[in-house]
Amino acid sequence: MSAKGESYAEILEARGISRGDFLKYCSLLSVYLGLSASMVPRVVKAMETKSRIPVIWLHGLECTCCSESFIRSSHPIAADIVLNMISLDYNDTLSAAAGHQLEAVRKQIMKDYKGKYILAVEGNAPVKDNGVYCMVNGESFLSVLKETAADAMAVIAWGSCASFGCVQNAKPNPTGATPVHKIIRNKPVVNVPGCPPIAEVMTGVIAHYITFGSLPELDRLKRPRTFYGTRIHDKCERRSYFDAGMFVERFDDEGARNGWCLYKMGCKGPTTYNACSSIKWNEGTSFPIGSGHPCFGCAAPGFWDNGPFYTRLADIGFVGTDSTADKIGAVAVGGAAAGMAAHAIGTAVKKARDSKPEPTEVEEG
Amino acid sequence: MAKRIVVDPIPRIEGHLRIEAKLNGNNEIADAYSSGTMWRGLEIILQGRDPRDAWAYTQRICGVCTTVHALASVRCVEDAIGAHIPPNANIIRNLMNATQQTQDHLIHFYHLHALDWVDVVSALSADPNEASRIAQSISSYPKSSPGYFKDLLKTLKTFVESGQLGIFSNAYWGHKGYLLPPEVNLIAVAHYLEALDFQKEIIKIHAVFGGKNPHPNYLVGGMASAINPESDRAISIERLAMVKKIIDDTNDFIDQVYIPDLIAIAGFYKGWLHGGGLGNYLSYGDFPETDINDVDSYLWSRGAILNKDLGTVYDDVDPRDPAQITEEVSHSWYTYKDGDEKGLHPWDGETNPKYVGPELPYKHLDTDHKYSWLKTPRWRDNPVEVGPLARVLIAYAKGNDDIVGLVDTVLGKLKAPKAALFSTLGRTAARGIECKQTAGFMRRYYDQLIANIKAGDYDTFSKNRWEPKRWPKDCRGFGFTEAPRGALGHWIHIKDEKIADYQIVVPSTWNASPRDGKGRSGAYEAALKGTPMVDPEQPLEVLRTIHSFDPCLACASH
Amino acid sequence: MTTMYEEQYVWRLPVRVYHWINAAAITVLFLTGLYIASPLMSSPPGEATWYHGMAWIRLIHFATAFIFIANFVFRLYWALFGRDNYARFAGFTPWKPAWWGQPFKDQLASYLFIAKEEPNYCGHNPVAALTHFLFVFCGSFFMIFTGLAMYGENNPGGFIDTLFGWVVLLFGSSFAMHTVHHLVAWVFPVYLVLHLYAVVRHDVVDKSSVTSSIITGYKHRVEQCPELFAD
Ligand code: HEM
Ligand code: HEM
Ligand code: NFV
Ligand code: SF4
Ligand code: SF4
Ligand code: F3S
Ligand SMILES: [Mg+2]
Repeated sequence: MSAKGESYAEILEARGISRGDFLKYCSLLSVYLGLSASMVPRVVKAMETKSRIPVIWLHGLECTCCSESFIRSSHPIAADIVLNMISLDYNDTLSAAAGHQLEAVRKQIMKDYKGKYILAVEGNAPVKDNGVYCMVNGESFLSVLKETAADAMAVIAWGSCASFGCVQNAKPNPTGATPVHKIIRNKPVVNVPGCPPIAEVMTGVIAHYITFGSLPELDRLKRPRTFYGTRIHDKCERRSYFDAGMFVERFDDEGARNGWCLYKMGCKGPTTYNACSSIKWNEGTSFPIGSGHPCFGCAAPGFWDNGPFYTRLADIGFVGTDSTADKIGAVAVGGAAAGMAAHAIGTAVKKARDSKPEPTEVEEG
Repeated sequence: MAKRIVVDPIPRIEGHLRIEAKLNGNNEIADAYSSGTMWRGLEIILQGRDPRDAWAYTQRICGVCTTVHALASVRCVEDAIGAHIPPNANIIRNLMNATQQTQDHLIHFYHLHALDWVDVVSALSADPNEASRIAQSISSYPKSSPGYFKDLLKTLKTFVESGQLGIFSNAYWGHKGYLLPPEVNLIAVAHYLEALDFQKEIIKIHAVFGGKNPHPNYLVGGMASAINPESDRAISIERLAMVKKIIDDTNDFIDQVYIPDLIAIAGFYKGWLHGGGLGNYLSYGDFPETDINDVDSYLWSRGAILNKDLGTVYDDVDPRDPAQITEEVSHSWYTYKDGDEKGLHPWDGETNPKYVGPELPYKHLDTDHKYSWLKTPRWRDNPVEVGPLARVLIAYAKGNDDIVGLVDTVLGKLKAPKAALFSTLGRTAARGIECKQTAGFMRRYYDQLIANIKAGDYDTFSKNRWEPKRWPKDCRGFGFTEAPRGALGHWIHIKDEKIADYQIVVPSTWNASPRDGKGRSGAYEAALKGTPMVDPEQPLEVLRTIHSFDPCLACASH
Repeated sequence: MTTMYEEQYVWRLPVRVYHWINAAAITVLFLTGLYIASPLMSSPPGEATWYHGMAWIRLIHFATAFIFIANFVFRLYWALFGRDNYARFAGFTPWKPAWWGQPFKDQLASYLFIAKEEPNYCGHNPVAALTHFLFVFCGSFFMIFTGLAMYGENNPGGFIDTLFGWVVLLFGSSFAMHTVHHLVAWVFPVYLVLHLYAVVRHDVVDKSSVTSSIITGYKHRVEQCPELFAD
């Protein structure tokens, strides 16, 4: 049974708290909220009806662009989610309380809604050197994350940071930044990649849960299929130019001004799963390709190490920078040809020697 | 006995900041320590990569000031390789920057700062009719009827009575430091929600030119968004009309909501003049009308002020000068090859992390030694404050007409002396003043862009230096911008077409840095000193002053 | 030792047909593949619907890919069930230490000019077998798996994606898979250089008309040939 259907009163009851204690709790709560005594019955009523699902939203190593993207959502708008759909009880970007008061909220939710709250994670945890590269209230973020995940019902990994590691996890990953699903292995994790993810994708994941009472269907990389089912390229408005072979050859050329395909400028749309070309950004205003810039694959695992961004072929990491598949291949063919030429000469020399009648030849002992 | 309080985590900022403060017997802050508790290593990650990609990596330093690192980075690379950008690219970048400033300041005021002054729970006891009367007396904003406030009150009550206070849980409601009457609190809550809804409109301008926000796209050598009035797949008249509408609406919102609220709220707090701090201010300047190297054309001037002396503005700020900008690590978790005490100019900068703080988990940091992931930048060996207050003061001291007019109007309305500017409230007011100014800039750049297109100039990109083969084998560059939070500089060293070194000194590094080798505090620490606390358990005063800087710790340590 | 007579029928028709289909397919796949990665030129201005340049090249790559796969599968069948001594894999057992024994060493030694003797085989010599295995067999396998995984992306959740989609996970991302598919494509031209050289060289050194054998099926010249392994 999901927490959604349960009221706070039921939760307390299940934990053996009597009706009397519950009423006392409600009046204390009213005082604590600064409400007049006349409002106590209404608080009681509210506590007896369905509660909004509590969400603890942690920030690790990140840039907060996921939160920023979230508040750009236009359907539903962020305020609607925060006020009416969920109970966003802990969020570094928006919470009013600070320090130990804020930490107390986190602990309280973990206790009161054990197994019934959602943990949303923005950013990821550095695991190197005991986690000193991200510390919250004197603890490593790594341990805060593990602690908060332990009793969560499910975990939402916001953005490429939480899903795949993102920029801090790019080589040489100085802090050992590690995506959430590699740390939390015993909970359902939903990856919502993108740097950041599209606002309506983020709110869509939440709306899906609130509306249908279940997490959306996920693909192999734990991404919701609805939003990450196809590549940018599959629904790109410039796709007909791709098929025609009409490419932008350099920025601001005639092709660029006429909206041709950005493939040769390094567009990663053909390999990136995201809803940019369908839902688009900022209430459908545009998306990177729509504004003339190639997609660089910000929702794909490891995209930071697939550079340089403005060419179709990546540098092959283990060989070193500036070595694309074609360069390596050409060198290999050249090497093979040179080797064979040398061998041919060797063969010729050997043949010549073999055919010379030299009876006294002593090669080895 | 000195009492030590710790505020960690600090919410409504970006990144992870920890404040430790010692209180004296009167519960006044005797000494404060500001610690950035996160680090990602972008300066290391950038090494060996294609300089043309750097903007994207550095942009991910922060998704709140989401455009400024990209701007500083493309300018930095262009400076190194000798690329010039076409006028349209300069205009579009200025327009995006002005948009960013306006939107960032608006979000800061309502969503990151307001709750330090506004008591949400007090709003529940407001009289909606009275709230409507007040709202109409200070602004012509249409959403201020009694019915509007009645509906809001109902929503708010339902929310609070649900017992699930969400983001408002366990905060300092009812704290004696809150001075607004319930009706003004209600108006502020209303505009908290309105601004939350409206900020996403402003930023659509980024989507038009940069494809998306957060993290719009930039390009070394110009901008990728081609202009073509004849196409529906480029910046066309439909796009421009959209931009124009957003600019008009934004100016209305700032004029009708932000500025009146700022003045109304500040009116109740004008006695709370703590948090002035250092009194040294620095700005690199920004908004070049022509070329980034034409410093005199900047709409925001470059300069520095020391010791609150508005009579002298130092005009010779030069971030390329090794004697002017240095970063040291005497109290930071890094080491320098030649000793941690001596500051290094960013072109000679090093990033060698070495945590020597207490073992985790800890109660207190070892503030006598190293205690932060931020380095400590200095201008001519001075700790300085950067940001809106610094810029406004420099413009004011230089007699910039717009700013003098705005500042004097605000001071006049509040009946406050000039000295009131050197405070937490002054900082918050400066941000509002600046927001109005940058909303005006948006109009200006829109008009410039239209004029250029009309004249037949569609160029947005200059290809001359796109190919690495055309770059010097070994070159250095400096790029900068005045970000919402202050002076931002990127320094690059390119060798053999790849990034050899990249150093970033961020506004919040200046403001939130730990002490220097001489024991001198940065802006946050200095501003907290001397602040009385009503209740040390409830750090409302700390939040006020710290939030007035609009901290961004992911930026600051990167 | 067996004796090879004047005309030895080595490459039976299915093998020869396979060989040439394979050679043609690989050539087409390699060239269209490179074109897909770096399309040389843009079509002239006009409506996108007038042209299909890129779509055609991709279609040719995919169509050829399926011919290539079918041909490969046939060769596997022929090797396993073909009752064709020279085309079977029976003797090829590199996982057994014995396989790396004297015949292999002798052949390698001869290629490296250490030994004077040039062993002469009717079918594949062990070094050639190993090279074929690594380049042609493993290479083809790799290209087929990565290729099908990429092809499946055109229809997520479809038949091919369901069968081969997991391959993407091995490489982390779709982009990484493109990169390795592209990198390993170069195995074929490298192989071709080695292969053509070896063929021509054998013709010159032992005059066994290997070159024409892949067309006619017959190798020439009388000689004692060592057997790799008695069955
Ligand atoms: C000898 C065999 C093959 C060679 C040399 C070859 C070569 C290539 C090359 C060089 C590319 C460009 C990769 C890039 O940079 O993105 C490519 C793409 C591709 N190949 Fe192959 N390939 C071979 C076999 C196959 C097979 C068996 C399939 C199976 C269907 C296949 C399917 C594809 C697909 C789907 C693409 C991506 C096309 C696109 O992104 O538009 N390939 N191939
Ligand atoms: C992409 C090009 C080619 C590939 C992948 C290829 C592959 C192979 C393979 C796998 C075999 C072993 C036959 C078997 O057991 O099924 C073979 C044999 C042979 N190929 Fe090719 N081949 C290619 C091109 C050529 C060309 C262009 C020629 C001649 C001009 C040639 C001449 C021969 C000959 C003579 C043999 C038999 C000799 C021996 O096995 O030692 N091949 N080839
Ligand atoms: N500090 C800072 Fe930023 C800004 N403004 C960047 O340079 O916020 Ni994230
Ligand atoms: S995924 Fe990208 S946008 Fe989101 S927090 Fe990480 S770096 Fe920022
Ligand atoms: S612009 Fe990118 S995503 Fe769009 S069709 Fe071209 S390659 Fe595909
Ligand atoms: S860069 Fe990211 S925003 Fe979309 S178009 Fe590409 S996935
Ligand atoms: Mg730095």
